[in-house]
Amino acid sequence: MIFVGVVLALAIVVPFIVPTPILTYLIPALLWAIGCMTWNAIARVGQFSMGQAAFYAIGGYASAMLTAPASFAYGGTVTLIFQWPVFVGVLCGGIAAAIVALIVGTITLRIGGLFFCIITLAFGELLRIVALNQPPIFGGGNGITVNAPAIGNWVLSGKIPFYFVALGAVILTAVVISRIDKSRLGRTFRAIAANQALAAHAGIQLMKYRVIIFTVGGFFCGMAGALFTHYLRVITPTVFGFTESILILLMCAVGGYYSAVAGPILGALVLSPVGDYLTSVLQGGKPFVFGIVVLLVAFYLVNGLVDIPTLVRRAIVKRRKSTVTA
Amino acid sequence: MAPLIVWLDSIIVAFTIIMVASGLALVFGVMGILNWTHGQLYMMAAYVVFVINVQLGLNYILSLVVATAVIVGLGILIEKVFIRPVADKGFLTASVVTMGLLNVFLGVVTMIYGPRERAIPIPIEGKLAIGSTFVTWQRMTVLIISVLSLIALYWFVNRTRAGLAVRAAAQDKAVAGMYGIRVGRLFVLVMAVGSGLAALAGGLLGPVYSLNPSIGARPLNMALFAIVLGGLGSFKGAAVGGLILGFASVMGAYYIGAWWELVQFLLIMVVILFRPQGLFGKPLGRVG
Repeated sequence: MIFVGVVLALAIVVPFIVPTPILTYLIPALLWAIGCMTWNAIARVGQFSMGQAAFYAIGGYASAMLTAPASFAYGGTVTLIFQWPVFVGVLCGGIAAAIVALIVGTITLRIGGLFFCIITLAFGELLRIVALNQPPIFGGGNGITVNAPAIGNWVLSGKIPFYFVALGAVILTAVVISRIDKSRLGRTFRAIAANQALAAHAGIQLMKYRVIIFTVGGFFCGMAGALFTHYLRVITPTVFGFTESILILLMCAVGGYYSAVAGPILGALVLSPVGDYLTSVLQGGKPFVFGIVVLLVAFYLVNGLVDIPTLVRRAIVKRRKSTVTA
Repeated sequence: MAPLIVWLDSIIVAFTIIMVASGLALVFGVMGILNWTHGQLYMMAAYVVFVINVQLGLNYILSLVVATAVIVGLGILIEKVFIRPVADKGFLTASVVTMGLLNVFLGVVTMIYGPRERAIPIPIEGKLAIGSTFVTWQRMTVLIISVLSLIALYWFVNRTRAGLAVRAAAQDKAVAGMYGIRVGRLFVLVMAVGSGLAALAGGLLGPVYSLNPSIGARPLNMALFAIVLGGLGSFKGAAVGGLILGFASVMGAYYIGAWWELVQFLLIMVVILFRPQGLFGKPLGRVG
């Protein structure tokens, strides 16, 4: 609890002490952390989704379509103009993604495993194609340009207010996912991951629980995607693609997928800023460094970065013991 | 009725998908690991051909042979150094490792050659007249070499002792080991064959399409879809899935443009819905 409090206090103080350019790295990292947590939650039921970024895209597009101002939207080619408030749009983005996740999950989670992995991958590709080829609805390759989020007349144009919005979304997701993880539902999930056959024989409906977590994950991804869209002020078919889905998986692996919340957040906070920085410095630097980091973690730090304190503690204890015996 | 050229194109695309997919399926069948670097092997083979054929100005066929040899070597290296230590740690760990490698290869090639498009000039000149249409000899070469290599693969798996060992290990590694098959050596063999097929496909298709560091994603995706469509770990499945996808993609693009991808996805979804194991896979235990 103390640890969580310290982290929260730090998170609240950070935007006021670091220079603004650093915030431009931190906000995407926070928004990716949400996707990482959902990916990890799904992985803890034993399924590996390769399409979490697709739900970002769904949320982003849903929110953009509902909130886009008439002057910006689609070069004025479209008659469907809702101009809803941004925060309603973000919520609707989450709901839209959850509905799609429910449908896709109901079909693909019957088999799960590798099939689920590949179908979710195909699903992400499909979304890109549809968005690209339906300019009247999705704006084609140029995508949709949106407003900065606003509450009434107060526009969240600066980095600092947006940082707190993103932080709030991360906290919400983290609380929901850790509550689920500690509840009966979470234990059911772990039972399924540990031994499917045994769980099924104990009367657990595998399908039902897989779909539940996939839908919950879809909701939070959609929400994060909508926020991301309003942060970037534009959504195009290429913002959330296959590469981003892999990225989410890699962030979880680096952070540590044996912890429900801390690992994914840590992974996103470490990798996302590094990646954004490298992209701006060196072409190809981002995938190269990510690859090296992932390989190092996979071979030398199997439980991810969150495991470092435990390893350090163990090393200290061992040294003490060896000095005692000597 | 589509023109003859579209039919021919479908066959060529189908065979290249089968080439990539059968290598992937072979590796998955024996090692139980999805090799996400498969598409990058394809991409790097195309770049090796680019370097030798365009930058050094040597013969295309020579560059194809060298590219295949280099990528086979790389495939063996990947297996020995990166995949072997995590082979028994489950699907996720192995996937993460190969995805890490995917990123490393992507990064290295991007850093050396930059993200811009490159082209290999069509090395094999001339056209072949079929009825009233023409097919470039380059495409015919792609077709001929891919068919030959697939026949060779079929012969290797079904008619040789090593192929028998491969099939045994694909059924049960532990039991195959007890019967005296060196499963570790088999992994190297399978990885070499798989990378070789991917490299050949990359080297052949490099001149047909243009080159950039991210061309590896598409063949990998198509191969994965073909495997899912046809059934995991069966060569027949990979072949039939590749044929279906090849025809669906070219015919679909001819009739309905880019929307064929939607049709492809729905096709896969329908197959999964009614035959979860794929068209030729072994029946799975039903869940839920």
